[in-house]
Amino acid sequence: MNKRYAPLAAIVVVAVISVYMIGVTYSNYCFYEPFDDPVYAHNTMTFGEKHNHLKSYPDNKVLIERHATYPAYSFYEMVNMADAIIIGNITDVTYYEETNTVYDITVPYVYTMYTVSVEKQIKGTSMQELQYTRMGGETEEVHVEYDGLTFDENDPILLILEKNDNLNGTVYMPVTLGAEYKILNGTHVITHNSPNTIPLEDFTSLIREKLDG
Amino acid sequence: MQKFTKTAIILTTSITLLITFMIPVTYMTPAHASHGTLKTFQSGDIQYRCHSNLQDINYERIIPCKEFGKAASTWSAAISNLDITNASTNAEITVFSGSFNDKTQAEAVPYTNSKYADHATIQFSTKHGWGDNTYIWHIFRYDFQTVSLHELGHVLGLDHDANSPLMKNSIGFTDTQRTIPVHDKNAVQEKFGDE
Repeated sequence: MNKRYAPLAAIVVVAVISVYMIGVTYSNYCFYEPFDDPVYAHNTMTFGEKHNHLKSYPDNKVLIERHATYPAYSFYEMVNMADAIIIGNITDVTYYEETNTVYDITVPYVYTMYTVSVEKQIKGTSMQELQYTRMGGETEEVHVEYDGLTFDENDPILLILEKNDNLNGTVYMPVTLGAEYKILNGTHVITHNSPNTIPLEDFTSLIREKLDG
Repeated sequence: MQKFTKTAIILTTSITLLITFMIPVTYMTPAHASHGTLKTFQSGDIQYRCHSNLQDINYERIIPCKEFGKAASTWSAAISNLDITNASTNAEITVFSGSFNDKTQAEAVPYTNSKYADHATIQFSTKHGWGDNTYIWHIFRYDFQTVSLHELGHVLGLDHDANSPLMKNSIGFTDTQRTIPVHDKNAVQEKFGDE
């Protein structure tokens, strides 16, 4: 008798669990009262003017430490997502700032724009020079620190880059954190979160292997 | 019918073994150096407010501000002398969305020039897809509650830590962390004092 009803009992259990899961999912979604529309506080002041009291960094700047998360990709994913993988040298470093106002808070976005002369193109359309941008940098009033390597002019680098749709696709950006490598003595690469260097030749072979695979 | 009973026994045994294995894995935290190096608020009585543009992110099956509130409650429950609540005005933490000119998913920025944070912003990127990893059909979206817990960790004084499942600086589609690892909890508790 018991065995006869076992399949029926299993179906009932599965149905109850399914109804419960659907309920849990949609109760969150349907019965939430959205908050009132906030008041936008339009503000034309720069971040430095607005937050004068925060200036204390050397040269009377505001020091901002960004703590950002980035997508976690495998090396294979990084290589295959890239529009360009290049070896080259940094020829110019500039900074630009954008601000956003949320309520009465002025949020600064400071970006570094690197110009790179391309020596070797491992992936992507052949080019002699490119520009790529990443968050962080320095303006007259603000110094923004961030995770990752920073480069100076003439630094040799290896980059895994994507086209940046925010900037008309003419400027690139790193595929994710850890897609920028400094080349040491022309023979080894190092990235931001590892104390170990990797032979450049082995590293480029690994990239080609992933591209072929 | 015998086949059905046998399958049921195998299934039950497998689930029991899996749960038995997962409990120690979840609660074991590797020993590593303290990473509670950032400045945070002086008082544990902290308020946040969500800007309406938080709803501009690409999300499914979640209400972003509500998910953020769950993360705030998780932190509040884990730490003595800490109570992070929602407010409509004058909040220490402003939560909103926006587009970055790079691949940033989210960021937390405490603003300060003294020993303690003056105010903080937490921003989620409109470029990425967000959702709830515990939902069975959830794919190719980042878990909003996990990232909220992570960003709140920064505002509470935690730096990135590759050994912490919560405070590592890269988060993948399958990463779901809805509890505070012991090491992170201890580092924040140290800042807000024991009960």
